[in-house]
Amino acid sequence: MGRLLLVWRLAARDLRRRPGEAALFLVAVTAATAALSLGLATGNAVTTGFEKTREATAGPDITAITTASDPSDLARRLAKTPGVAAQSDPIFAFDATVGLHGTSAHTSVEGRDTAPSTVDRPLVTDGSWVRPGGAVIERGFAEVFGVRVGDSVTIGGRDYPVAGIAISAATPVYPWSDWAQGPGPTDRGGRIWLTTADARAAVSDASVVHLIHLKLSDPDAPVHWRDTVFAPDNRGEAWVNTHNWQTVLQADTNMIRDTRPTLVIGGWLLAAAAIVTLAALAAVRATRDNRRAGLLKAVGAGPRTVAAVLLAQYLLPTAVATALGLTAGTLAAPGLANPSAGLLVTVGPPTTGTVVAVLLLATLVVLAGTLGPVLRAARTSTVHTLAEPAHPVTRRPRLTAVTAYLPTALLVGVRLVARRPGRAGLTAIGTAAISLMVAALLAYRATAGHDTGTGLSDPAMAAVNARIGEVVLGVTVALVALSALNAVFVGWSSAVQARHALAVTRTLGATPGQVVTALCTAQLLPAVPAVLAGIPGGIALYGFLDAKSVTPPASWQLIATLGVLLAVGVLTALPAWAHARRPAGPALGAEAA
Amino acid sequence: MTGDGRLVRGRSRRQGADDGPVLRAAGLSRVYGRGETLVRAVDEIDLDVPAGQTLAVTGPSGCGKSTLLQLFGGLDRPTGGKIWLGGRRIDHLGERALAGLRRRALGFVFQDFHLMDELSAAENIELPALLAGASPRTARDRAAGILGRVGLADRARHLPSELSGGQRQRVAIARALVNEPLVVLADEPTGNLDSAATHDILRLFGELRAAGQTLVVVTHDERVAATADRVVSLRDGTLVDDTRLDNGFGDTAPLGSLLSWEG
Repeated sequence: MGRLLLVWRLAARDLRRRPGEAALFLVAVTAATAALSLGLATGNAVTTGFEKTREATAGPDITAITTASDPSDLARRLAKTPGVAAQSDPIFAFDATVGLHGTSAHTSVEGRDTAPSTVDRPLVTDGSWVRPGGAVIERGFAEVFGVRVGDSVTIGGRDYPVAGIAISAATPVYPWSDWAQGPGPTDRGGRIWLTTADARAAVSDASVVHLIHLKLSDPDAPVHWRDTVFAPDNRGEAWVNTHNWQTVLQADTNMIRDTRPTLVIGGWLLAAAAIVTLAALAAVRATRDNRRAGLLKAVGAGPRTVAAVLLAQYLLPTAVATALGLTAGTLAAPGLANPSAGLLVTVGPPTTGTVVAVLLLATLVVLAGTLGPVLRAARTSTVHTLAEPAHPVTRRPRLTAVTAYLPTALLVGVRLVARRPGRAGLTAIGTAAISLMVAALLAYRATAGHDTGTGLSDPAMAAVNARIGEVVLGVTVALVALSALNAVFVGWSSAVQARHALAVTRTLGATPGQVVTALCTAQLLPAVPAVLAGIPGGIALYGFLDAKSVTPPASWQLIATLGVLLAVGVLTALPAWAHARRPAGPALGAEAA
Repeated sequence: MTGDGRLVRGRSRRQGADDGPVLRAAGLSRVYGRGETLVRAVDEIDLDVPAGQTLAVTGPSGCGKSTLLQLFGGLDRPTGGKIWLGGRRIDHLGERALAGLRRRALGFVFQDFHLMDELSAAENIELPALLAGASPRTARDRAAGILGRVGLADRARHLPSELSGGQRQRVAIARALVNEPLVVLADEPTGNLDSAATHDILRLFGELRAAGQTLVVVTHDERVAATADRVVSLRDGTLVDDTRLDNGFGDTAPLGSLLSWEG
């Protein structure tokens, strides 16, 4: 207990003493966990929305559609078919072109009783249910065309005032909700309800179908029921087609299928960026942690206690950041994952899988960034921990000899890279992550410019495409922001870590300009191959996820490559310049890193 | 390094009485903080150091000795007063100009050695020469020669971590001399050394002194101070004592040779 109290006290004090570092830590881990939980929650959000809607509207397990002019025979046979728990009366329906606010669109027109049906009872969210002369429009369809209660729609040359707006889970959301088109290929369309009498009056010469919504005694196995019980010899002469609830959910989920991989991949890329941030943070803290470990050992703490104290400093904010990320991702998921206004959008708790994955990610990120320095500090002998620098430097005699021929700035820069190859690796990972995402964004823009993201031009799909674009842009902005933060932080921490070496170099006569150039060189050397690999890598990754992707023009790729490198250079030069402007003496006196 | 066995060449030799001091401070101040937290680390110090003189700066901890040395070396900026090196004012120079000065006219020796851990003894000594624009071959030759003079020829390829404290300090002294500076500034050069190593360093300083190298040594160690030509004492940032010792100070060298670092 006492040991736990000690660990808690030391970790809490450390966090309080260094609020800036704690904030940076929180930002990095929260961004990564939020993006991943968002990505994992999107699929769950559609499922939750569909299930809520299905429950609220007595959604069918399976729907039979027939072209028979008299569906009563099919209805009777269905009623006698084993496994059917409940069924709606046959619903008169036809495919029509509806006029809305001066535009027209395909839609199914369904004739419904004013009384609620046993199966598929559309939930009126605004206005009232059908009445003679009044139409009810499916909410997703209405929203895309800006139709509200009190407006009017035109069917077969007759105007119908909009009595209400409703949702239903019997069909997929707009534009896949027109099931009245009969045999053959179907077109996209919406869903409008009239009274049965009004529907019959409006049909004109359109082909009529009847829909029978069914509840099964085993709702989870409608396909099995259809294939074994509702076999073709039980369907009669006329054309009969069926749609089960799983295909409806699949169609709804497909509407946002491009969003999820972006978020999941974005989450992992953000995680990579977060590892860079944390590793840089751990590197900056290493000297302090090392000394702290030595002091703890000097007063009798064992390696396990030392490791626990040091890791607690990282794991405590990790727990907070994970909770923040999970909450943010879960709250944002319905908004980003909502394929249409046609579903009841509610915030559900994250699934166990999502929680486990996000926790795993956060722990991996933190351990990858910090475990090495912590274990090194815990294992090293007390005297050495107190006396030695936290980071062993790497000696490369051949490289040292070769660099003697380089100009001063390059000589110092290359030697800095050779001195701390791990830091060069950090820079490379961070730069590769940003390059990947920038290239993926370019590929997305190129593809979107070539045609719409889903290949469809419906207003509904345009809205979905715009949402996908927003998600890609959002993830990219988050990644760019974190990467920019990384570039500044890694540059600054490089300057901090190298301050002793650079202060000695300045004491020996290197100018501030040479020191800044050296630090930029040390950052750009690993950044160049990372960008050169990251840009084509990002395009390839996008192509892997979207078969219709278009490769961005070479000029875009060149600008992106130079832009990323310029950003790395500038963001390194600024803290380096601030560091080099100060006299060398104080840095010499500072603790050697 | 010359072939006659001396550690320094002629340009650092003592100057004549008419040539003026090689290092001079007038009203030199360095103040930290403000208001109630104001600390006068160096307070209105006037000091001349003739060429070839070995000056020991002594005083209790926190009296401003190291700050004074950093101001002389352009490692810190004064908040008041003026500094001349070789007759040229340096207190108002920018970092770039100060870097040039450190490269060509100054050599530093620190208590903590401040050697590059990843570079061998020879590579550490080559570094200032390379920074000053010497070719790799020249830098290598100079380092090899000077390593021999400080008795570490057989340790040229050793890393600092493979050397004793005294050996590390000898490497640091060799590094300070490799560009033949006007002045060598040493901050507690024996502070981390045992008696035997201290003796080695004092012997080395004796050779420097005999060769006419201007040397400013900040020290707590009375044995080090006793080998100087002159000892100044600081207390609370001010100069409280200035004693000339009879250690054979007398030869001179023309000032013109001292100014070869300029440009």
